[in-house]
Amino acid sequence: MKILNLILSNIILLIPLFLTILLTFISVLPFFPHDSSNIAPLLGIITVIFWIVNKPDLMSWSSVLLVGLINDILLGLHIGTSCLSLLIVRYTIVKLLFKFDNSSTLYTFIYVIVGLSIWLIVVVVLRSLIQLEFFNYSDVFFQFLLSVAVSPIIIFINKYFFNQLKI
Amino acid sequence: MANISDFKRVRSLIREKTSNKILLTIIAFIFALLVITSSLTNFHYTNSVKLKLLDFSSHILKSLYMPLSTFKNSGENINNIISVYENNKKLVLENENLKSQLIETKNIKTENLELRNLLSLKKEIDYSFVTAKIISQNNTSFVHSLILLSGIENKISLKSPVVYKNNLVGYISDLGNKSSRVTLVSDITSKVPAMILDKNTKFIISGNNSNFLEVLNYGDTKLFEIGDEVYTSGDGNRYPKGLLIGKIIKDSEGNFLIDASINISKLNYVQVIDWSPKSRGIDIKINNILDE
Repeated sequence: MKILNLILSNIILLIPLFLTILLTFISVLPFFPHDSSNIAPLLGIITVIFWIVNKPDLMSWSSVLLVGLINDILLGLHIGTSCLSLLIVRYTIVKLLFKFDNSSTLYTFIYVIVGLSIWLIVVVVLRSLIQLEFFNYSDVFFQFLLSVAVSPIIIFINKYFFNQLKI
Repeated sequence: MANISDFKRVRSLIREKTSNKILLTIIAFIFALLVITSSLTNFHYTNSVKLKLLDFSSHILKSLYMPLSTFKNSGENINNIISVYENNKKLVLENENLKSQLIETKNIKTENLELRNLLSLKKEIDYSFVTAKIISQNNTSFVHSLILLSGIENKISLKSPVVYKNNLVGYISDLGNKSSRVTLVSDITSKVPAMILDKNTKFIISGNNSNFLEVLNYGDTKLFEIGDEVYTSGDGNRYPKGLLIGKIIKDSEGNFLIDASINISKLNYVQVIDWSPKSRGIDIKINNILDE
């Protein structure tokens, strides 16, 4: 029974990671309408930021690296691009958490906005540097706006799991 | 611990879990930088790991895709049922037009064949294709790609052109055993030699990560007209000649753009052309890319 309990308790600790990976997969599935397919919300990134803000110990450096790697493979980016940008996001948010004394839903939303903008800026800059070309940045901006618009729903979904965790 | 605020609880956790892990932070950053460097230098090990993970991801994507596609398709089916009467009317008219065009095409084909025989021209290259299912559509503003549920096991080769009913979609950029990635024609890395059939003008088309394609290095813009159909020219041996890319349009600043002919989000399947030199009857070395 002890071993079973140990396994179960560890599985519970992996819920944030599994949830992030699941939403990352969902965000690349081909079911978005044509006009918004280029600017579909970054569900996985929003989830990563939520857990960094609310449970940074469960969204550790290794978890962030793993999510970044999966993101790179699914999106077709150069391997490591998303890893590096997510590491920068985690580093920045952890630093910000020390300065502002609140982690309510509203503050989580603000952290998500900050995190999304950092992630997009780093990925776009890295991609432009790698390709040595500038592309249409208006879509990037609209993807950011749509992700921000969708983020409250993702925050509440994650909040539900966060409340269920009780750890 | 019970009487401190939620923030303090989080802050204490962060302090406990992160402040003494500076070394881990540095290692994580170094690891990410090393991975990027190895990816940029096409390090063999990174590529093989990438392809293995792509294959593995395709299984998860496939299992997630099934229920979602059923849901999506049922919505489309309901729409189709509602508009079945109007659609039928349109299709009957279209069918009549197509029948008359078919007779014309048959005559032109026969005439073309006779003229080819008279000139002793060699037969055009026939190519075979593999139909592949789309399981993922990359929905970001900085990469335009698809993941297909077909790979080496389905006799697909790297850099093969991907089409849908003679419309150009892109090319195979990553190839795993059971899955592959298609870089779309609208991706920033994509460059396609193109032409307008009846105007004898050739140019290069480039994706710019938007729904429209840019026209590069064209000389006489007077030849361009809004609505002109743009096809692949077949130059560079990357794509077959005569695949439809899109139509010429003008943006608000007066620049020529190409509106892609295909709506990727509506596709469930695409065709991957067998474009290896051997399958095209080429038995000499043409370039290093095709020999890969």
